Amino acid sequence: MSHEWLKTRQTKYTAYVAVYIVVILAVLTAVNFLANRYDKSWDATANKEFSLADQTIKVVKGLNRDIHITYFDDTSRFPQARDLLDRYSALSPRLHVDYVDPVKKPQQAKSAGFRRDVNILVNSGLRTEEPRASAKKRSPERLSAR
Amino acid sequence: MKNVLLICRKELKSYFASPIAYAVLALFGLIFGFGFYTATRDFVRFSFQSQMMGGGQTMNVNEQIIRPLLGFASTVALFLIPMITMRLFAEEKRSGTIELLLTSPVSDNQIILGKWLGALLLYLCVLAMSMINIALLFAWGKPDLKPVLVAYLGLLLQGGCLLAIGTFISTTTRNQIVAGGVTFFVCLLLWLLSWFTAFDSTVPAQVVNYLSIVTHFENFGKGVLDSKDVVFYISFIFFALFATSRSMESLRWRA
Repeated sequence: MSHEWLKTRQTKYTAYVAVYIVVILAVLTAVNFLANRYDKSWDATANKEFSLADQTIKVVKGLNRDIHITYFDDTSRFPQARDLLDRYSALSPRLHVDYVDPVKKPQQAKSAGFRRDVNILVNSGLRTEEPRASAKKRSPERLSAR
Repeated sequence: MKNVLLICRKELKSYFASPIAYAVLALFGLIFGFGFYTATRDFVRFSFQSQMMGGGQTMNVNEQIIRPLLGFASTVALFLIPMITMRLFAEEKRSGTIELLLTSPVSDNQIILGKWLGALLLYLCVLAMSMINIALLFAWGKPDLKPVLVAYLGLLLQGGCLLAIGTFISTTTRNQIVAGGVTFFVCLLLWLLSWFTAFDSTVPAQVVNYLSIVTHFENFGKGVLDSKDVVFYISFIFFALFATSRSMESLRWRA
């Protein structure tokens, strides 16, 4: 079997381009990973609508175990909830947010501890609680790991 | 840089010498104007209803008109950008002027940057059309300016990404229709990625969602400037232009 094609100019350049692209992709992936890990944000709204209180930031950044926030609602209302909940998950890789529609996924909702009177549950692994008030601009003691 | 600007100016001139620029501007103006009318009408209706019910509901021009409207503009851009980029290199290939361009004393990167910048400037003109509507809100209302500027920066970066993809696709064919069609489907795919993965917390879904071009616009739309979104858009533009450069280079050794 002839391997002449391996020596052609086209094969050589194709291999060179493939390696070049893989290297660039790896570098860009690493840059994006670091940008996600050390994310900085600036809220340009006048009332700082999408900012969390300093105490909240301090508590979430200092989490020493995984915390799961589960938000239960109709799928159409997820985007509004995400406006705020994403601010939490961006602060720490230890904080995870799950969105569950109890109508579409009743089994998942049940196993996550869904009750009709609450739409957010915070689970630290040891216990599950609902936040007493909106944590925006407040100190979210409820979110700290216990 | 001088060569880049020269090519950029030539590209911009050729857009306005053909019906493309006028068609893109007119279509965008029409669609955005309709969106503006609908959003403003609903806002006013909601405001009246709120007053009749005794008030209590907070009205926010930024959140209730500008944010959804600029989100709508980012979606409309997905459809217009293939019209802007389809001719960039495909036309040069079809008419045979690509050989002249490749043998002229300018580098491949200068040609690519010049053409991409020309397309970006046309996209800026398209965005300027939407500013006319937004200016009306500032004339009769008191929206917050900073979030609007952040949202426009997001639109520009998102547009830059899609234009870079379109530029790359345009180098791969001599047929403008093929270039435009493929660019449209790639843009659509990057848009749809977030549809099925937005609220899925599994790792593969989050990676796919991260690659969606729309996901990163959400923070800009809110008026929040996030470093990770800026880094994503810049790396996307860089990668697409890098791929364009390799595609141009391959014209020499593939022959």
